[in-house]
Amino acid sequence: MSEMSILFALVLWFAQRRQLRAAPIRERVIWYAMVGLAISFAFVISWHLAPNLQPLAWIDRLFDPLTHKLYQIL
Amino acid sequence: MQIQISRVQLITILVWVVLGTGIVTIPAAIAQFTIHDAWMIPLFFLFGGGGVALVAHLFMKTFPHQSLAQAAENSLGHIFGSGLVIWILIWLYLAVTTIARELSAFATTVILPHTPEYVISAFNLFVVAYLVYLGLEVIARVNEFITPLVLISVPILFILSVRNFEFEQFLPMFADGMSPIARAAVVQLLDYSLEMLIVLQIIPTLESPQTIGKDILIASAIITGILSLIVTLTVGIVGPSTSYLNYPVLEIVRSIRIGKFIERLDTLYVMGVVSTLILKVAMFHYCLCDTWKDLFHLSSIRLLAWSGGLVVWTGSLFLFGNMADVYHFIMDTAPIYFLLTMVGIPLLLIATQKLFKK
Amino acid sequence: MKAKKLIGRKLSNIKTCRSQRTHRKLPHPTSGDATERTLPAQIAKVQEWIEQEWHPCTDLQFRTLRVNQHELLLVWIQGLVAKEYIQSGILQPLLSGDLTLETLRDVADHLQTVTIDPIHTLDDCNVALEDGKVVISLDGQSRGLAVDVSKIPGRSLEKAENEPTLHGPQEAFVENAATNISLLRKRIRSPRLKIETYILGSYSKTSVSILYIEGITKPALLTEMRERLLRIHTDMVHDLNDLQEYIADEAFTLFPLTEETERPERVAANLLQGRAGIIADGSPFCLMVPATFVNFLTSPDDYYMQYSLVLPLRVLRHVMYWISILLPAMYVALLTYNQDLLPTPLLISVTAQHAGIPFPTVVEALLMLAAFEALREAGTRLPRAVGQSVSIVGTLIIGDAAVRAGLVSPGIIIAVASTGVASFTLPALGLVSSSRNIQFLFVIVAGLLGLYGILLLGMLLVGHLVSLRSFGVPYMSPIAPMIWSDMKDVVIRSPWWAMKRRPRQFEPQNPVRSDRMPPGPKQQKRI
Repeated sequence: MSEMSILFALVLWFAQRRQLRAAPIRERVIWYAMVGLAISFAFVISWHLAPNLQPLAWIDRLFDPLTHKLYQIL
Repeated sequence: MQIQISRVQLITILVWVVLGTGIVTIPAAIAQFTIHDAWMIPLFFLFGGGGVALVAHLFMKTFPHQSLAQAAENSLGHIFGSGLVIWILIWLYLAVTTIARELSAFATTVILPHTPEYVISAFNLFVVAYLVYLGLEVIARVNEFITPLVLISVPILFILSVRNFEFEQFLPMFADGMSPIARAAVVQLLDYSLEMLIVLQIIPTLESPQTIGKDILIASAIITGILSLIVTLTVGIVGPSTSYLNYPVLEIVRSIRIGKFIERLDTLYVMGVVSTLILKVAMFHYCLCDTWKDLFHLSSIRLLAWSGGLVVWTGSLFLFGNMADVYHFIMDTAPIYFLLTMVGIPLLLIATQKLFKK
Repeated sequence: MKAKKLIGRKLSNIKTCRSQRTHRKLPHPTSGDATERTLPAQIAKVQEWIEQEWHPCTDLQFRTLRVNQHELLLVWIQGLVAKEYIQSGILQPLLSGDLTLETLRDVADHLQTVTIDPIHTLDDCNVALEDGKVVISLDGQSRGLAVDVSKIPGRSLEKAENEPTLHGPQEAFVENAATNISLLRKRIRSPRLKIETYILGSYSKTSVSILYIEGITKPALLTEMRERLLRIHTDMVHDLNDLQEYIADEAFTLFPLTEETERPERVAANLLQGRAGIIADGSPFCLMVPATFVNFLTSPDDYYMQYSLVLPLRVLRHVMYWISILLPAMYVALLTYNQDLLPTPLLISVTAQHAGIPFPTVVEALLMLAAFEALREAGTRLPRAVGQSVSIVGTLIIGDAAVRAGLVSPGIIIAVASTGVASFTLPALGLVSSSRNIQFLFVIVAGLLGLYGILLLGMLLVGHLVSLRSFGVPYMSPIAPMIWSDMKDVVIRSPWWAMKRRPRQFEPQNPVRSDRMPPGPKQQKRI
């Protein structure tokens, strides 16, 4: 998957290079940040690191108890 | 050119925003709590729809011609407003990755089981990013184009499946009291109906924003009707197995057999579901990009559509290791998370505006 | 202002109610600033200049006349003028009797021709000669006359061959713009039919006309059309197809964004809907804009048949369009990935047919589609009699031989032939050409991902279709965006008495066809 994400990123850069050049710096930074984030996610998945990271743990801790409470009330 | 979304387009968008995934997962989610009384759960959707319509109407009255992100910044100032928009962005990102994952898992399981899920997901998100790149008007028109096709083909499939229907599956009624019914209604009330509130982000593009409440109510009525039909048929045909099947609706389509030439129509159903799911992901992805645009004051979403699509693609596989994670998110996290975000934030903004800006 | 600058000047003295003939200020290809140079007063200098300008042109003709001490120079291009008209309209009146020709006015008064235009500059002189006029210069006068005695070679009116109908009028446009305009005038006898003409192409100087009905066509559409035409800077406009590419809203699409027709009555009907037309000299067609997708699935016959009979035909055409795109891809998907959709006996039969074929189904389909396209192309390019033979030989003999040789299965022959038949039901050639290309894409994705691939490409196609616009009008209207009132002429064709209003999608200035309710069956019963 990591190779595929790099390939997509390159194809995307090639297809949008003119638009990117014409875009203000802020849009370019966001574009590169997004693509970088996507590639890093892809590498994390490819190296099987995702299960250890538990990216949604914080949100689970915030809302799971409240939802369970609601189910209990009902 | 000023984008103008007509009332019919808004209603079709709302219908598929809920039913895109609702048609796949709601019967199974309801069956976790009750089988005999499952038929009455979709009726509760009308209450959710009514609440959503009220919030949307109040929001539109308080912030006419403003999107949710714009209203947050205007009402709470740059710093607090931006913080709230970032919270909305995270919510939208989690919502779109959840739906994208549901879509890719559904397509992989049902259509191409030997193809890696990330490949299927990449193809899906290519279509989604292309639609978002073309703009909201195009998404709305594709909704309009596809709706009649789905509305013609899906009822035919259900009518053909009626002969396997068993009324006994619904008896005895209220056998376990009201508690399972109330708990079964939670997911559709707090997850699916609240998803309709993403339209708050597209208020500036509506042709007739003043009728937003009415349009949400119309859409809710349509959704309630379709969901009632689907849930009733699913439980009536599949029975108690609904609770442990991933895609119970698929089973009722599989059960169709007329003569030796009309059978195994599930592929057609899957095609219909995938097309509406793509529209749902596209709508959420558009709102994600548009919120991003509002937050950073960007000129357009054309660059974000593709790069954002890439992040949604990898994010959907990174955030949710498997479908169990997705179901856990939908059942255990989303109800309160969605309620606080999509109802709490608009109400907070309305209250702030009413109290401090008068 | 910009448009004013671009439009050079109007030949305002043309005494015809038909058109405003508007010339763009174009540099002459050889002489640079010919537009700025006035005609010399001496005819010797005029002749010298024209000779230099046109040299070598053996078809350029000069004739000098002396009438009562006044010298006249006549210039024309052989082949573009009718010599008998020169004889009867110019030479005979000028040479008969004792005339006093002191001014050009005197000359003009004696000529027996209909159209006489003044010439001020050498560029006017060139334009007049190119148009098949005789240029008359009187010695001592720094102006001239252009006398229209043109007889541009062309064919006479014939039957519409590309849009044949069983009922209704049969005549078609020809390559002469004036004739084509007169065919329209015959049908719309109103001064509200307006024609604006522009000269495009620095060498071809093709006259291109915009046609519209004043008071019906949206003015913004006309402004947009004028601007798009005036943006064209090229040396030659061969045909309307050149223009089509210059003025289309979207460059990268396989779909036609302007509608081409050779039937004058169709143009007349479309103009009354609020659309506008473009005709070009030398092209036997008229471009209609804006064009929507459903326009291309409409046949002229739909309007000459009883309305209730049109419904099944329209439905058939809509279905056939999608079949012409999807059938080979569906065949590939069903045999490669989604065999479960086929009833078991059919699956066994089709699989048995495929046994022993050396190619996978997708390659087989692509080969057969390519062969079919080659045959179709051969049939089109060859003379009609031979072309038909090639098609029959190709389809019957080669197809049969390929099956017997075990190169392809009978199933794919049936699928490809059915696709061809489906595409033949489409009334518009532009749509047929696009579907021929799109079907290859669908076959490839069907080979890669089966029905799922077809679905994804279908979504992309629908997304592309609904994103297109033709002169601001959404291409898929009135389906998406949905305009209910315009659905009366999409899948069904409502009876004429129910078509009280013009289509809303074209935003006509006057949306109602008639102030009085057209007679319907109920009103007739009362009588």
